[in-house]
Amino acid sequence: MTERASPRISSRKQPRQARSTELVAAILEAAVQVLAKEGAARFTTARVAEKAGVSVGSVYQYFPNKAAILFRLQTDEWRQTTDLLRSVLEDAARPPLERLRALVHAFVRSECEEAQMRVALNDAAPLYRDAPEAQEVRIWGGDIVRAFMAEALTPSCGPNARRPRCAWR
Amino acid sequence: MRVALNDAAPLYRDAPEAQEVRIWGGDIVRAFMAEALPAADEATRLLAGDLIKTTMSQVGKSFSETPRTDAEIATYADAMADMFCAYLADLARG
Repeated sequence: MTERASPRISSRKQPRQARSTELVAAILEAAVQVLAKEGAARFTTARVAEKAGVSVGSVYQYFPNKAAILFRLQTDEWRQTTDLLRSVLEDAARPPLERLRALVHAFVRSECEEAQMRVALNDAAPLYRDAPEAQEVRIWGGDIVRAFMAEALTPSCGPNARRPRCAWR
Repeated sequence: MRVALNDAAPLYRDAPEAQEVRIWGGDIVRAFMAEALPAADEATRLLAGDLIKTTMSQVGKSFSETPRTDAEIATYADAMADMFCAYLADLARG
């Protein structure tokens, strides 16, 4: 094996023992907290090590640099989403549209749970959401959409119909 | 955390390892679309699968940026599912 020119960002070695697995889990858990609290700009391997209560050397044993840690967090998330997709969409016992509905529910819920964790951890988050500027932007053509919906869902289309069949179709 | 990870994405986005994982269940969605739209052609299925996947992930992300109750989540998810089901039923009719 020759060394690659570009820096490796995959984990340096696979944990083979329970102790290693625990250490990696502790590092990743600390990384989540550092990321949530400090943000990406102040995310460093040293801060992660400190938070995890391990030496920087221990972190480097598994992750060659901070990008490797971030990448691992991201791939874990992608993997979770893929697992969710697979388990729900491949469930041949239910009709396809029922599976799709179940997926939407599970997906939206998982997004919200993840965001709640982020909010809970992020004590220092700027409260931009409730700033007046944010409120102004939020209205974002609300009246235009409302007017369109009043037209689109007229009684002939059936506002309470499950599947409105509209005149222009 | 997702937002912070996103900010940090330039650090890892273009690595070969990232490309591999990026496929985000493409085969799973394709197989599902073949089941949901047995009579549709491949281009229609690909478009529908991509549109549903993109809509779900973007809407889910945006919706989750505000704290939500369980009831709000259920109502919103049901409405989004209604949208997808109506779309697929329409495509299935051809």
